[in-house]
Amino acid sequence: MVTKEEICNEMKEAILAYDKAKCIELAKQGIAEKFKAIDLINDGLTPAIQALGEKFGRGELALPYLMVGAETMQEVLNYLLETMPKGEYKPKAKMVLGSVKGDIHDLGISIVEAVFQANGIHVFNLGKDVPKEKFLAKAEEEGADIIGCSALLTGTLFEQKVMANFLKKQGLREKYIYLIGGGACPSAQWCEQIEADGWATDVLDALSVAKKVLAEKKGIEI
Amino acid sequence: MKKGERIRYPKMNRMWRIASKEDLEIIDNAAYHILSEVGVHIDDKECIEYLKDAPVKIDEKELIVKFPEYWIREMIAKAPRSYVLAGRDPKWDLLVKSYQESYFNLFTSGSTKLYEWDDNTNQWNSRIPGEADVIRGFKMVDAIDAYDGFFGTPVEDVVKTNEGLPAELHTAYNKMKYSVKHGGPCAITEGAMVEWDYLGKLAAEVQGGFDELKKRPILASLPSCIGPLQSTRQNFWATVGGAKYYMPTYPYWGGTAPFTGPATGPAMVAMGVACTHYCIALSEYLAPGTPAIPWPNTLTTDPQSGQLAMTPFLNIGDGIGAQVYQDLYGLPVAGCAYCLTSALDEASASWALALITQLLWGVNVQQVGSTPQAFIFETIPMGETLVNYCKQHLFELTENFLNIDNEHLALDLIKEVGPKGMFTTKPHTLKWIDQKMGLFWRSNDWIHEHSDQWLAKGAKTWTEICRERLKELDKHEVTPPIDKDVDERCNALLKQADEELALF
Repeated sequence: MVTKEEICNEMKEAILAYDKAKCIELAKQGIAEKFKAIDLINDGLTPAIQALGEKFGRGELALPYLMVGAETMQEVLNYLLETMPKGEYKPKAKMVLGSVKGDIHDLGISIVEAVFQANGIHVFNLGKDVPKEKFLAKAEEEGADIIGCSALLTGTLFEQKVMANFLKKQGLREKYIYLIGGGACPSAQWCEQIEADGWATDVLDALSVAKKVLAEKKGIEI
Repeated sequence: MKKGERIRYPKMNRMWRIASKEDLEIIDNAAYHILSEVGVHIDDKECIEYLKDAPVKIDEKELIVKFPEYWIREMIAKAPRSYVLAGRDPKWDLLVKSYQESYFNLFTSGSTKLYEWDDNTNQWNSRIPGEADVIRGFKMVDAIDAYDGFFGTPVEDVVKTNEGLPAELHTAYNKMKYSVKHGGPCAITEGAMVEWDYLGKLAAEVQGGFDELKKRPILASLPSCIGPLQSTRQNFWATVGGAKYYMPTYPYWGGTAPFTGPATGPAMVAMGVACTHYCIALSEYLAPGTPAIPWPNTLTTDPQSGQLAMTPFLNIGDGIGAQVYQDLYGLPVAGCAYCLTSALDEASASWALALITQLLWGVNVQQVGSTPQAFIFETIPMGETLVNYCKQHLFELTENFLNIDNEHLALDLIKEVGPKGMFTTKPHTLKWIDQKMGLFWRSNDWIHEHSDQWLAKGAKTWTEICRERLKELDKHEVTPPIDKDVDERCNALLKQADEELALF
């Protein structure tokens, strides 16, 4: 008879081997054996993706591998979440992420999603060309801690300010950590001007900014 | 590429050729003409004595020797096409198998002055280097896997030289003690055979005896014609000393256009090949079968400043000369890529260009030459990045990248991903993203972040980043250390050499 530890270890190994099919099969086996889904997440998925995140942080893993790992984790996580009561899974932090309205680039946010997931921040990736209302609605629905807006084009950079103003008008600016990033050259000056909580143009810098602001504003240590 | 990982050069299936075989033959014939009709000035009667049984024409009054073509050809034919350039540790033996497949980088500078950055005054300070600096350089080069060994020394022990001691012997031994890699040529410039005898004994002690030294030569000689067809006694002794102690030889020409060499390219190459032919022939005459790695150097001097200049011609001329040896004689060749300036931003640009152009036309043993006017330690990590950058270029000329087959064209994958998809996490991408394939190389010390982030973090220059790496390199321990008994015996030899050879 298989134990919970064995299943969790094998799930971890499957993620480290980028074997999505095997990981899902193991998760299903774990549920069939009546193990708690939350334990499979905490002891199987989370340490594996964190291990990949650490390797990436040390420069020992290329981004595509991390993204495959994150993709695998997300798929297995979605399956496990369906088997458990809503709200039981409590990641350390939640983030709603997307490219601003009019911006059709989503490679950068996919990278941020993978790296943040690997570091314990559960990411709801809304994709590209996301209107401000959609960012806020998802954040409210999921109880997010962070809203992250990316802009690759200088012509869409102003949408980051639009989002900040929208949050203010709704009286919700202080409720969320608002981070900006992307290749449209946001800067410390722009960040200050639109009163965002942090900025980055590089994924590892974005992670350290997010960690810092989460600790300062929400008391969450990642 | 991970830090510390040793990346090898790929086989060069697409080496660039500068001149046609017909052109190379014209240059080679010109070189024979120079040797047989103009001859070489050997400035010492005792040296000329070594050639008394060879079929050469000696003008005893002018000390000029003329060499028949057939004899030079006969001698060059004795040079092996494959051989070992040994390290102290056999793991670092460089196996030169053929000119199409063996490529190595040897660090060098040979500077007699040292520039060090002073953080307090924010300026470079100049000083005379001593033994501690020499050792520091050897250990740093030992720590960097991109360097396969040494071509001389990063910096000379000028303090000892000024004391009248045989500094080059101390430097040669320190190189074998503070690195496990191939030592390359030793520049014994003053002493005669007695100094070469000490050098041979030191090398034999380190390699485990003369028989072992013959099989695994750790040091080499560097004979040359220093001026226009001029072989000085010091350079002659280099050939004799090297031959006596089974050392491979790196024959080259030290003439520079437009002063000690003609001002046109083909003439420079012909002179370079002639002088290099002469040095090879002499080595093979004295010790048949000596590995000879020709370096038909074609230096130029800036006609306005009188300083050596890293002109494009150096790379092109050296390349044509090298291809004479590769394509007409099947010999692996040496080349030099120096940064001939103290301004590192300028140096690194010309250095990278010299490295890559020479590699593209197939130089086998390449000198990674740091600033020879005044050595700067920061160039050691800087050269590492440039060497690896050049290897990246070469990878992209190999079957790893340019194999035009179904796997590499990936039409099925392109169809599968379609117009809206992403390639990022596809198995094909994961397979080919391996950095060892060379396609996705990244330097350890270049700026990869966005300019604004770089600015926010202090806008460090590459030189400053390299300077920070020096602290890490200084911690390197040479493994394995030299055997204690060997060290004692070598120190006793050096003490004896100091007593015997001291100038004052």
